[in-house]
Amino acid sequence: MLNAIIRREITEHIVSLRFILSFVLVVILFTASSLLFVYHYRLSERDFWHNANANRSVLFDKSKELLGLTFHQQQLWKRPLPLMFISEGFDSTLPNKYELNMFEMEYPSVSSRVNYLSSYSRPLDLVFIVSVILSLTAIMLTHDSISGEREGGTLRLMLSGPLSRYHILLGKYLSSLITLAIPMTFGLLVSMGIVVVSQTLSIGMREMAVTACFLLISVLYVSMFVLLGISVSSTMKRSTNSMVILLIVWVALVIVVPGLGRIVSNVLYKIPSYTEIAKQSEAVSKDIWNQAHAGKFGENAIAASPNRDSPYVNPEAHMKRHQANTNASTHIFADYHNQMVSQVYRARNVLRFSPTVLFQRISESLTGTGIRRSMSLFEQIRNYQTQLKDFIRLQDAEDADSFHEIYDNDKVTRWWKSISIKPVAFDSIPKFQEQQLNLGASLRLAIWDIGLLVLFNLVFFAASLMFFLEHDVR
Amino acid sequence: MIWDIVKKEFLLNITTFKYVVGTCMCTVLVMILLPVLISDYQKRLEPYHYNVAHNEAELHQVKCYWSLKPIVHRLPSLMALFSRGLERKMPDSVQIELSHVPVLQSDAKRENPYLAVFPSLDISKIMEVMISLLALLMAYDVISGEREQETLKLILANGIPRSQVYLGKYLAGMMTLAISMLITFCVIMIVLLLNPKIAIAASDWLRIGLMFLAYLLFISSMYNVGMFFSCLIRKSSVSLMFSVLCWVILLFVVPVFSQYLASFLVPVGSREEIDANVRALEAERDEGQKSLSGVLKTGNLWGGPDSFGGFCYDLCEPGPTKYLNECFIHNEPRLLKYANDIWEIKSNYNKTLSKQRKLAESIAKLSPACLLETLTNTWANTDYGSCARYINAVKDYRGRVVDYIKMRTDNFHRISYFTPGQSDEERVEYYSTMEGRKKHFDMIAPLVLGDFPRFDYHVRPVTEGIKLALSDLTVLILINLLLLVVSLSLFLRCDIR
Repeated sequence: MLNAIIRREITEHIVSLRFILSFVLVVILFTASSLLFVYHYRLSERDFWHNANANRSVLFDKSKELLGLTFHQQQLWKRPLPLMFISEGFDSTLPNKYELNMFEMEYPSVSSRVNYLSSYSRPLDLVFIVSVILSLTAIMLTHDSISGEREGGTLRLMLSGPLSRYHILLGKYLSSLITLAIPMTFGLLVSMGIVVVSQTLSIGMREMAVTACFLLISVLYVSMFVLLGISVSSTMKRSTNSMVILLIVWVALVIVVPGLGRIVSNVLYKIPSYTEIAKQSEAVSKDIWNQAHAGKFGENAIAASPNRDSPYVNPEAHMKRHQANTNASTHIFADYHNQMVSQVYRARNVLRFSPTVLFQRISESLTGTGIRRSMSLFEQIRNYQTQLKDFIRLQDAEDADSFHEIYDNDKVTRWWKSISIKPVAFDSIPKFQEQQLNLGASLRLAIWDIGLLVLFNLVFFAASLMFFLEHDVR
Repeated sequence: MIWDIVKKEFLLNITTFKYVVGTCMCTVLVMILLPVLISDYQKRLEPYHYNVAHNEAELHQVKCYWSLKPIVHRLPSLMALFSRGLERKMPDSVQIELSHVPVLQSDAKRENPYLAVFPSLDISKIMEVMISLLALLMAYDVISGEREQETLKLILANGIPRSQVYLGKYLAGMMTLAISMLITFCVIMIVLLLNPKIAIAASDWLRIGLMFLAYLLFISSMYNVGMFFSCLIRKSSVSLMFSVLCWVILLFVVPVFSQYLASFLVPVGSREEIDANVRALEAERDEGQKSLSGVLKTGNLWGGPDSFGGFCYDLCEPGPTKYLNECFIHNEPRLLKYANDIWEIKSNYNKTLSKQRKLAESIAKLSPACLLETLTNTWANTDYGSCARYINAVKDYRGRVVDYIKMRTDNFHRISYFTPGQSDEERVEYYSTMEGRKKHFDMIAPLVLGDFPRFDYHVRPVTEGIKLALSDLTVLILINLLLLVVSLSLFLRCDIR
């Protein structure tokens, strides 16, 4: 009997004008989004390889001399991912260029084809389409699911039959969900088709799994709006009123709350501006300078002359001073970076009460894009820096002519031969390779968000059940 | 008679549930956001006033022309509270140097780069979303609702021309919506006026008035969209579907899509290529200047941190003075040339970017929401034109500073360019008292800079803004008229049974 209801409802939905309209819209948007994605992906992939190869060839040049390698400023780039067509996660506006040598790391920056003069930074990915268009479709399909039947007088007839209210509700819920899954699946297939045909993505196990998970999560997300629609519909006497309420709730959840991110982060967690940090780091280095004057690092910690044996210079003290400087500035930078990250994380955690934010977060975890990827990349680059440091130490230790004093002063270390100037085998230099989180690990990271989304579903299911069971059919 | 209809409809509208809820929500959201934005604005205002005063004080301490490197600070714009636009993309401060021609460029260090994960939403966007939704909700059943309840027959049976009925309904709806818009604007005004630290100039009032007008036109166009569907479709619920879909497309899909389409149609080069070109030019420039840096590094010059953002050379000994003089005569014109070359590259890149932006804007003119944004940005002086205008003003100022230095130092030929212009005997004497050098330095009289050019920037006047926005304004009005005429003709011919 439940099947009969579902079948009836689905056929009714499918022939309805609103369904056809949103189906067409969704499919057009999915197609356009994937086509544009393929175009942009190709460009950014080309840029990535161009830059990565440039970095490699400079690294090759620098391998002729360990000292040169030590002070060589490497440029590491964030690689565009083919799965970004599902969730771009604002990746194109997040920093993609990281510059570092073994001593310090520059402030990450954006150096891509993104037009910083444009005022719209929203990505047109599948997450956007599902979270805005499909959630709205869900509301439009369900806003009159109960109130409409009552207005039409068919609800009484239905309830006078042998079916329990619970079954009717379940039937309505499942049928709306299945109806909504149709454009989603179809659009996703079209998108996958475009991406595969254009040879942007080779379908492996991971891609299949991610896409399937994305579909499931989308269904879960849309289901929340279906349940919301049914609950409001069973409390309201008139369908139009229920639509008004639903639209206002929709605007709040889908548009307003996710858009509050910047404001919430600035209110919740104030961080100093870059100029303040620059001032702070200047003050610290001045402090170290004064300490050096006072003789904290030993005699003549400041003086430097081309002659290492001059009585006025003290290589060891000089090294200590510079190391203190490097440590201090690295510490300040790392601290500031942590603050920047927690600012964003906190706001995102607070905004989780909006299902749209949850959906965004989960899909980012699935595809391995977004802020989490940026953080993991940053960590990996930091580890790489340590690796590079160890490598240079080891190489330097093998050279008997070097004084093994490795610190951040290009000119003086060259004068004093503090670091080896022997060539290094290019193949032995560690090279950076980004490791992506595997799907299991990313799912584990998203488990709380998924749980929360399920919880929202349950709450709204309970609400709709309660409202409908107590519904007065007159 | 038309006024009776307006009155009746107005009273009906204003008491509806959706109107009250929509207006309240819009006002409440604005009230939540506004204090945050205002405190942000004030936080930027304080350092601005401090810096400007500080700058002027430092100018009177400069001792040689080389260290004339004034910093230009930008007054944060109050109007950006209403319409943020590109205001944040304009630099807050620019240092005027020989080696750098000011140009608009992105600066990652200005705010947390990871905040890019949040789509930006400001007051204007919230008002736009809420008020347009409200307009559609008010309009979708204006005709179809009456038809469903069969009251339309009764109204038309009274001998009132249909056009009057229609216009009466339109005017009543617009009046109700204008009131809720007015409430929101009043709330903003009251909060701003109650804040003692914020001064609103007369021209700003005019700008706010113009923005209000733009909002009214926008609301009217969305209301017309709703009425169009209401006339076209018999069932209110279906008309609501269409209106809402249309709303989503106009407000959310068109802006994003136009940007993507524009980036496809007008591709821009990678930022990295441009930076690489700039770096190459800089390396070439520095290659030719080693002679000077050699002198600097071996410590023949004593430089202390100067108040004016650079280093100020001490009195030089007569020997190095001659050498340095030659260096500067050779180097500074090169510096200027390379600065221009680098500027050329960067501004060409900006030209493609702005071309792309312009195309995106033209595509987005399909949507009244985007037209509204262009209009308010233009009137709040936060559009691209204002940014370019500001940067050009700074660039002109740099030109004047360079010309001034050139004139005063005879094209960098005088030693007063890099060292206080004392005679050779005085220098020798000065160097004889080694210990008191720093003390002596303070006693050297600063330059007399009475006629030094000052940076003086006036934002684009309102009249010019109106002229610029005229075409967009016309498009918006035309959209309104078109929708009005089409839906009126639909209504005139509709079958009321």
